[in-house]
Amino acid sequence: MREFDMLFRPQCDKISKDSADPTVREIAMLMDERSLSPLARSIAVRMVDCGSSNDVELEEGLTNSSQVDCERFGIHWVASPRHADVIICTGPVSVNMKLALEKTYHAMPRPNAVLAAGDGACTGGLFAGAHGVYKSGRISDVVPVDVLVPGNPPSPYEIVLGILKCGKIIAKKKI
Amino acid sequence: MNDAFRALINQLARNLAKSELRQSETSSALWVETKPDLLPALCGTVIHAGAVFDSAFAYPSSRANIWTAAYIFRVPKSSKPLALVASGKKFLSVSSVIPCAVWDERKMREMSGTEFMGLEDVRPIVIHPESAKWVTNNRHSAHASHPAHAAHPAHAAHGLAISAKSGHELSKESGEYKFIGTGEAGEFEIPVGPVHAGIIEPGHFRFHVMGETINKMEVRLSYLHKGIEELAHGRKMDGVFPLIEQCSGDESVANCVAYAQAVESLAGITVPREAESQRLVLMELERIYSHLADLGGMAMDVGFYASSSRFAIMRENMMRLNARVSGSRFLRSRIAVGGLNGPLSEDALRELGAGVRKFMTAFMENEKMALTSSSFLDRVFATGILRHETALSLSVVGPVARASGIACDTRKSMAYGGYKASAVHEPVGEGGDVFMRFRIKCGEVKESVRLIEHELANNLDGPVLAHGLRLDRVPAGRTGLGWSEAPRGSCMFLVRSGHGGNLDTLRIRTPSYRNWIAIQEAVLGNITADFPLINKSFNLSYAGADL
Repeated sequence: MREFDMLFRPQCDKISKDSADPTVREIAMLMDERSLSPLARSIAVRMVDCGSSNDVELEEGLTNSSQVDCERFGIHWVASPRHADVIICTGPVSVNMKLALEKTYHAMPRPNAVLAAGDGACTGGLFAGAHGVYKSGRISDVVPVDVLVPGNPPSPYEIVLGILKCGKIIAKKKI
Repeated sequence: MNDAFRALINQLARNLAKSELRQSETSSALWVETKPDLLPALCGTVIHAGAVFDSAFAYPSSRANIWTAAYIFRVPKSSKPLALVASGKKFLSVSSVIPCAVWDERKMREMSGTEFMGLEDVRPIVIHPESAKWVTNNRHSAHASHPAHAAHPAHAAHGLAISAKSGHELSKESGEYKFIGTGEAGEFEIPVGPVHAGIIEPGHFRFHVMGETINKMEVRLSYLHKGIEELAHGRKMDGVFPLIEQCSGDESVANCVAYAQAVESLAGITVPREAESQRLVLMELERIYSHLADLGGMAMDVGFYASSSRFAIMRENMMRLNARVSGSRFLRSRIAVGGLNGPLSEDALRELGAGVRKFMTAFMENEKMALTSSSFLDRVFATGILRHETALSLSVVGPVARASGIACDTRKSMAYGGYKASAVHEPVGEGGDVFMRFRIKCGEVKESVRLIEHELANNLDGPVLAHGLRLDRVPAGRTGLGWSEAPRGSCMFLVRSGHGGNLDTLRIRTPSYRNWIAIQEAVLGNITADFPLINKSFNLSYAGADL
């Protein structure tokens, strides 16, 4: 049994300001700031896939893995946009998803923030001019975007950092 | 090609006139060219003789307004598929002989604008009527001016059906998308999606339920349709890999290998043995991390978090290993026409060997933990049964088919690349329930580890890219097929060459497109609350089906 435990011992990555990964360093700095604020420490997140190739979704799923463990940063994935502070949108926005994205956005309480994750969501990526893509494919063509996280796909830590930045933006927004 | 089948085709050729049946053989398929009105009869004949329907594609022929439809079949004991091809302005639907071809024909009808007579279900599948108004604007601004499109006679003549008609007309003609229940008194409808509660892709499920029990379920997809096939038109044949990686993120390698093989077959390129071997390693790594997501998801959906978190730990570790081995967590930008973009370094391969051994110990422990837990077994036994006969008639592929007792692994039956030299053990089970799909996927992960270790043991040195690649010298109008066994089952690519090394046509059939129909059957009689579990045990890609 002891050996079994060793194989699966929670393998949380260390988050420190002298980590080799610049994303992790930035997360560590943001967490320092947040730990001093008495409120606004948790962020409820919902995702909307508007046209990506399930890669960003897989990386979002892995923010829940024991190594990254997004809950220690106060990030919690919720099932409905009505419970969410932040929606993560992946793209490019397809014409068939435009309406669903609008409806999801308007279902969120205020103040809120929108994060565009992945190259497709930020710029339209490879899909400029595709007939099934709405306008340029950018999320900002449909709903206002607060934070861009480019990448093909962005890593779990890059997504976590993006969500933390959204938390900062929400704190400044007026209700 | 299997002798019995060759004899059958020869027999047919003798009975029919030359204008009605012509056969030719390339390195990727046996092509049988026929007339559109003979297609259903010929499809029936080959199905009766034991062939399995694989995919159907429609593409513009070189003559204006004429479209070509290709129906592709996997033939038992044959290393390449059989393709029935016909060109014309109108086709006869084969849905009466091949029930699952309905989806393919609905898509072909919508995208080509040609008619498939006898096709009963003509609801649009690709562009949703309520969204069609946004398509036209887009095409006028960007796509209609695409020079490659304008240059193509068939495309220029009537483009895609969706561009020829305005969105408004399309919505008026097809009206609202109608879901069709069983009509039983007291039946309720539950709409689910497109945005789901979990971290997954969008799709709409319409349940017709009697109390808790599912009477009928309809899947409505294509929320992620972007138009990858059309976008690839006119691009360089070796320049569309980033686009193909976007078909379905966790099948990037398998799709790229299938595409590369299609191009290699039409251009007559021989891939060096070392490249084949490293492609195999990449494909098996992809299978491992992809299956880990399914296995963890199944444990998660029954509320067995102890097991699902351990699968997640293993998955994250595998993704990090992928990044160290190939430079990308999704093993991307490695596959090229003729081999690989640079070899995997020797250090990387050594690290991989140590990594998979460590992984295997953890995996075996976790599998044991799940399969000896009564609370887990209680939920997965006899849940979401896909019967053998149903799976056969719907031409289901991949682990889902294997769990229903159908051996269909193209790594074995139509061995390609590195698999020609390595005997793949294909786990096949009976029962077709969630439990069996869990077992099959566990078996495949272990087989993948064995294959990787085997491949690493016979370390070959040598170039990983074929010499003297001149894709611009490939004659226009050649057609090639390519396939590979993605984690979810076999995928099929059809590629036609254009002038100067450009792509004329790209058609893609991913395993998800074949298997989505089967999930509608597997949920029948189950309770609605078990749907997420059944869905996860299939774990189909929405993006892969929508393209």
